[in-house]
Amino acid sequence: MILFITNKNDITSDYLIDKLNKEKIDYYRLNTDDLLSNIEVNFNFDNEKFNIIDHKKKRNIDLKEVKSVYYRRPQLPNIESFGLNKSELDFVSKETAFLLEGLYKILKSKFWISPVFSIREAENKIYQLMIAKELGFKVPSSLISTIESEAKDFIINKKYDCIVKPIKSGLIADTDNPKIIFTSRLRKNQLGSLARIRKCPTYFQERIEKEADIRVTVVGEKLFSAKINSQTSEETKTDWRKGQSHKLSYETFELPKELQIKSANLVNLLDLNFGAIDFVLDKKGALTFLEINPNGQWVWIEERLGFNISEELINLLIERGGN
Amino acid sequence: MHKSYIMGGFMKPLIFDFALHRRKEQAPKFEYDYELNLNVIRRKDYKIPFVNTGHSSLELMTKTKEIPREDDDENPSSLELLTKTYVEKERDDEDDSIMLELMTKTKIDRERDDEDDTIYYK
Repeated sequence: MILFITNKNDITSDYLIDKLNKEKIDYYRLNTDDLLSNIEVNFNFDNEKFNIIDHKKKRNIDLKEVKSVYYRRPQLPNIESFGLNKSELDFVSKETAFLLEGLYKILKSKFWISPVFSIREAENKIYQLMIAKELGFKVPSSLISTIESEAKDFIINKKYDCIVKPIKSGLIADTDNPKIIFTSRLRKNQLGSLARIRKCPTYFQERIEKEADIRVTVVGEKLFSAKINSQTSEETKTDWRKGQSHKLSYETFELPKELQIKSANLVNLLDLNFGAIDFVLDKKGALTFLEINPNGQWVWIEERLGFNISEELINLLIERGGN
Repeated sequence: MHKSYIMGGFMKPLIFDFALHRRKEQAPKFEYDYELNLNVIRRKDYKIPFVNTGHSSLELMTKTKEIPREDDDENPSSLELLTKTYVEKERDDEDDSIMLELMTKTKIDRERDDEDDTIYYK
């Protein structure tokens, strides 16, 4: 059986599940946001029975029956209606979170896309850059610093042509007023403000004059490469994800053999079975590694370019899991 | 340096200069269907998996962001769009839901030496 670990709003899981429904392939979707309500758990160590009881589906899942896991976006349940105070709510949330951690450990020997603990390690952009460099990818000249003088030297050395980007996430998750930080071009007049990096580590990179962005989606040993024509709009030139009004065009891209091998090696080395790798294609045709998204999105690119990513994911989950 | 950034010793990190508000997004009204195990759009006599509707927001929702869902009491069978009030996650290449995050050091009371209270689930 294939186990999906996600939440009810995850449209990417919907996309695969729709196909599994049509092909009548056995799976179970564990929406972790339904824990403590529709879904209960019972881990009995005496008889080594580890079960998930889904009252909505009227199913009792023995975790031993799981052969492969598609790990997407688990979320903790909303427990605000439990009538507890903040610290009690916090306690229940943590207990539930660590229950899930245990569930991952119980399933550790199964086939995962991708192993959750590998995803976490691979998500670190500092680690990614180190590994990518080790594997021989061309990487941008980069500096992460809290030291004003170091940042100033770096920027002057790059002829003031730098970008700034978040180390982890660009989201400033204010409930009423959420904001987002995309990769952005550093303005020359900001040089006088560099002392402010003391208050938050800041990630600088040399700016590369782009021809396009390249997204390589690796599934097992298969690669799907797409050219994102990000330079057709001012909004998407520095960060193609920024485009809200402009619909980008895409085309399939022939990734050089050498980079195909390196990309597959990178995913392998990070102990992943999936990865979405971003490169910059510069004006001279050279490709520079930017980052890898170990649990990145892929449905939109399958829809746009007709890639068979979903088919490959399903095949992997079935074949490698021995379903 | 701009005055507003240094007031009473307060210094706003440079990275926040690049923070942007996002415009309101539109998302179709879909709901989770426990029979099919996926989200559907309901019409009077039938339901369609959202992923099969060819809706333009599928790209948006499976590319860079997830649009939060809102409950409303409009006719759930309609294919009308809702205006969303905020964007929950912009870069959904990132997985904020799984990260064990470091808690900012303030005054965490340690209960036991063998416990690592500095990590928790977001």
